[in-house]
Amino acid sequence: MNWTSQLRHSVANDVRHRSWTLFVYLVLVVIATWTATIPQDSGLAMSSWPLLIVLLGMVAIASIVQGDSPARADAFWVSKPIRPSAMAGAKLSAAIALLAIGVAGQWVALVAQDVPSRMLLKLLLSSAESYGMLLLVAMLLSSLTGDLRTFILAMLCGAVTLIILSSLGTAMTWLPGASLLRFLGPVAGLSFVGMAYHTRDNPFRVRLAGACAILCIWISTLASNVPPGIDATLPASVMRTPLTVAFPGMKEGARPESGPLSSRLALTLLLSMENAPATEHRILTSHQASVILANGTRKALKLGGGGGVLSRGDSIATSYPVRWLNSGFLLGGGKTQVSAPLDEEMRNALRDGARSVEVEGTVEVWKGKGGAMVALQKGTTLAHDGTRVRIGEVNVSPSAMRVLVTVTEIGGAIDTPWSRWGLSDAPRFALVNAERGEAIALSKSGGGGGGLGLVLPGVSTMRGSYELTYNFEMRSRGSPTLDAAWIAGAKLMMIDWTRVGSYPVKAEVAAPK
Amino acid sequence: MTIEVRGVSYSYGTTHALSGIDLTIPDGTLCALLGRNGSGKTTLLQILMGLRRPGTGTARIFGKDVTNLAFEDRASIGYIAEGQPLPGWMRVQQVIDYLSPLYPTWDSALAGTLRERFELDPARKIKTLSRGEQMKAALLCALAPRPKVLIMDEPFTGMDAIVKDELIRGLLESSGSEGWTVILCSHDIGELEMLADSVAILERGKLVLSETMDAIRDRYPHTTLRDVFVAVAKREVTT
Repeated sequence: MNWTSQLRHSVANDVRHRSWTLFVYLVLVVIATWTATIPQDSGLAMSSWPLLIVLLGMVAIASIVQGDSPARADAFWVSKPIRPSAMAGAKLSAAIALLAIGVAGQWVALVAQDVPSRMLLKLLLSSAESYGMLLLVAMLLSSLTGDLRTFILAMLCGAVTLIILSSLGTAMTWLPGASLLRFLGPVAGLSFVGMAYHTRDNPFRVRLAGACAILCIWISTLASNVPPGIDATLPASVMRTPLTVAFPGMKEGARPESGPLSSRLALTLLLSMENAPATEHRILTSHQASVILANGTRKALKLGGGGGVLSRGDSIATSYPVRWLNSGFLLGGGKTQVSAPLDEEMRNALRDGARSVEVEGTVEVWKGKGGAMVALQKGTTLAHDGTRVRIGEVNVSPSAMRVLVTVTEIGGAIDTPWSRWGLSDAPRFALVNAERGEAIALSKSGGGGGGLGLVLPGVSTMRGSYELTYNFEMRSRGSPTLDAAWIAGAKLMMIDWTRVGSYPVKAEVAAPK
Repeated sequence: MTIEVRGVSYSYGTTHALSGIDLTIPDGTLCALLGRNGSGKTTLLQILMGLRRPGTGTARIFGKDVTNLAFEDRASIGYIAEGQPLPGWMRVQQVIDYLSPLYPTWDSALAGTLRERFELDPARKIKTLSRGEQMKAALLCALAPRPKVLIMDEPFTGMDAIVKDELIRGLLESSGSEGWTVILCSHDIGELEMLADSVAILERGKLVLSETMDAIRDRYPHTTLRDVFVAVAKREVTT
């Protein structure tokens, strides 16, 4: 038998050996996929599928590896004319098959979620990377252990160790070329499996290599968490409106709060962006502040909060002319406050005469656009750009209109201001009556939780029940009251947000005297 | 020479299992490897199978270092060891079906004959077989490829006397007619006396005797192999 024949022979033997486990795994993936593609009133029930699939997949690959253990010198296969590389290849093939089955289910679930094709491959790769790494860890630990019980014990110990290590380390942004380290884990893990099947009679060396491989996988996991860099580009046609910074409620240069600075615990800054175009959202991100002392040196302030909306558009673009009956896009006033705690050293520095306070950051520019629509009826479902919406109830009372929806959202399916910067108040839904050419933006309340994924991990999902509300009493002056005929002809519309670009900003204000 | 061991030493940590072993087994002969528990017999056989790498020295089969044997050569070596686990989830016939494609010389007729002689039910799972029946299945797996070299570590463990006799008779016939080279380690010294062409005795990791049966009979007339082994072990005879 040549190498490939031996590999096929071993794979067939593994399939016979673990046929029931593989069958159950397949059934689990099919059920998870089916569950992910049907409308759900309670999406939270789905969140346990990826965990079950991952655990069963890990146990399956561990039992397949241990069926022809590389760790035992007296294993049945070692005295038979089978090439170790063919045996290792067979085990890797089994892992790839488990991965492929899971990824196929994930693909079906993502397509059912209407994830844009440009993001589909990225999300599938993300799932494959996460699940593949877990399977590799299972192969690694099962290569080092002699039976399933020891393997499970090792997995538990490994999980605890990784949790402790993860609390010590964060994303490796400090390391140049960190993204390349993502490949370190898979390469080390695969090399170890190959080595374990080749190396006999040296358990110390195998265990040492196993420990090194686990370390590499951990480093690789940290490297995977490196956030993407901010793309600071903006089309020339978009205005680079400057940022202004002031102390709230006080004139520039005045003391921000009553009393001496040495008794203040925090310094509050008001950030705003005047005269920004009304067709865009502008969000300040990754902002930093510092105090410039009299001698020119800087002292950094630790700003709280994750950013803020600096300006809002008053409408969104639709494919046909629509008159907006409310000002749903103008919430918040277009200003944001940030504050920084003042330690004693900083208070003394301000008291001795600081020159100014400087804020710098990046402004993200977003534009809203009318997206997919669905009839406003109970039970109808809309899947659009990675978000599935199911209408639960439509209630109209004299004071307000309420639409109860269940939303399942794929994180990272599309770039949205709320998914990227955690801003949940950007309007997502509107009611549109195309015949009358009128629309209202709906405010959203309610909540949900994160899920582990659809079929596989590696793709974050958010599921929740929300109430979309339009308060008749809060309508704009002069707007007509929505009657039953208006509501009957209305459709629920999702709002697409497109990132136009970003640009750096810097603003300075004289320090309080 | 089919099997040639030169200066082989092996240690488990700080414990020396084998020290400077020199052993030669000519083609077509059956060598009985004797020794007390812990004398290094199993370690030596595992080194010959390439399952352990010698600390020093070399072990050769077919003139090639056992650590670098080609797979065609490895397919010509049969190995049975007491305690070596068979895949318990497989049925007897599945083990046969799994192994047969791996060996170019697999003799299905011989496998069938051995299965019938050992009264092994092909539909029974290995894990449901008794210890003796499992050794029979292991023997079947080792003999059916008609190996040129057979390495056997306590192959008669758990076998009933009738089957043991049959097996010994079969081994004698096969090693004679097919020119098998056999190295066999067993505590059944009486049985080995019938089978062996040569005897090697290990004592505390050292080879203390390696002679043909004819030479032993000439040196120690009217003495059984058991007595010779006991005397050597007690260092009552010079080697």
